[in-house]
Amino acid sequence: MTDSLHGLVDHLFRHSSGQMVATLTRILGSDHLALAEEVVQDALVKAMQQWTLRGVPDDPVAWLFQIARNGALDHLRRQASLRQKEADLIAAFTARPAEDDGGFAHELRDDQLRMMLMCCHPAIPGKSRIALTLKTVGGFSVDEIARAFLASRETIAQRIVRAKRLIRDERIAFEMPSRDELPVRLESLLQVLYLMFNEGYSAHTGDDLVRADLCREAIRLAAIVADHAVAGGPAVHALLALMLLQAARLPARTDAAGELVILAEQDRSRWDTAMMAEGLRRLDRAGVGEELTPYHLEAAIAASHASENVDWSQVIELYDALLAIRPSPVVALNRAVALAMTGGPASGIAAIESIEGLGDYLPRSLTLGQLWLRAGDAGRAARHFRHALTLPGTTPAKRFLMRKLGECT
Amino acid sequence: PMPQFVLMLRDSGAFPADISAEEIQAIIERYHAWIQKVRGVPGQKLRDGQGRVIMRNGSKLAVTDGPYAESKEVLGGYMLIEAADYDEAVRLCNDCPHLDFGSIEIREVDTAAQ
Repeated sequence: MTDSLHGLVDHLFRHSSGQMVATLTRILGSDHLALAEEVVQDALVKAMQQWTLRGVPDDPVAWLFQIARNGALDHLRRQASLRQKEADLIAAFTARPAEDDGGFAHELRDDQLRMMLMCCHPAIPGKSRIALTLKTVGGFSVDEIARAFLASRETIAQRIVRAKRLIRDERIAFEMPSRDELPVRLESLLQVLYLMFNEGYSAHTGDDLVRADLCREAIRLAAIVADHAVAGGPAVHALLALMLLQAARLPARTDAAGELVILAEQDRSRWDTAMMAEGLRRLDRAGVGEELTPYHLEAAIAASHASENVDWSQVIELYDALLAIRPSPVVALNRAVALAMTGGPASGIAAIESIEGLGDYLPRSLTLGQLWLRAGDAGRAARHFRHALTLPGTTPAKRFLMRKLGECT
Repeated sequence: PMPQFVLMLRDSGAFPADISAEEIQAIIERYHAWIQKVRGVPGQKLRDGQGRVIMRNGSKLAVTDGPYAESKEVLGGYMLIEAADYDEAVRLCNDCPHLDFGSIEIREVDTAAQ
């Protein structure tokens, strides 16, 4: 039954789950989202029970779709109101995903896009959108989402339950938003994907791999949006470029001992060159047209770090442009780092101290400590590092700070 | 040819209902890797919750629903491996992932040629 030593493609079950939930929701209707999830979960469990003993089938995805189809048909036949959907269900779940014409794959991506857009409906609370997106089209479990966002299981479960109830009560349909609604809805979706990526990126060196998966998932979903004929556009390409350029550097972000390595000290040979090239291609596509979004600027900044000799004055200009359209203390902090590269540590320190609203943000203290070290004042540097250690942060960040403290003596 | 051993896999219950897609895949991959390693012959899963037991009672045939209700661990399925003897069969099963979920009964296939 099975040939391969290879078993299954990475995340095949997770991705198939997302695809099937999206397509099933389209067919059954958004008010049956919970049923769609139940049918898909049953299919995955059945596959587990079968394949552990019989082996992995040659076409695992086709098999999964078949199990899901049969499970869905059972439910359909028991509910009079759903019986009419039988023909659509069979059509949607019978085509082989591997077909060359790409028609089936296209439909799957289309359904996933509509699911994503539905999850970002204005009626759904901001915090619930990411959770609902990850649960439905991402194929993540409630536990995985809770771990990814360092929230309690109950909190995430409640957010998702409430969101599903809203979808039913407000009759939020599973369909493309109207031409008028689409721009706003897309903007919400891009924000959700941006947050998803950042959560994974900032925590990538943490102890839980599920947080690293967030980056990958954000990229996968953003690519679906970017390549869609109607939804895709310069802003999406810019966001996708940003994600790819940053994700390309992830392999270099930790050293062999698992310690955090900051950008300036990274071994560039460990950057994923294919991903970086893809990011730059996307950035080109983002340059078409008049639109200049914060994503464009952040992507351009990320791209500028890719070259051997970073043009820091250009980076500073990009930060200035970004601050003009989206003022943010964190962006101002990053600008100060760039400033220190051309103007020396003192100019960076002065810039940071003039930023309001950073509060007890660990990177602020960390950066000040590093700049004081470069300026030759180990005592001041140590004070900042010690302060940073008292603030919330990832374990690798804390270990990094301890190492830096060691350099101060 | 090496002796064959039937592995009867029993488990005491269900997985958590909300087990994630990723965890499911990981479990399948563990079984897959183990079967590859021991060069096992894939078997079958037996359908849950059903079964029949028939016995002749004098001239009558008694049919009852099986499996026996008292058994906490239900036979979930089977597969085959080859091994030199029971000791080796046991050794091969040492790291079978099924042991995380239930028990394995090992029985050698009896061939008249031995």
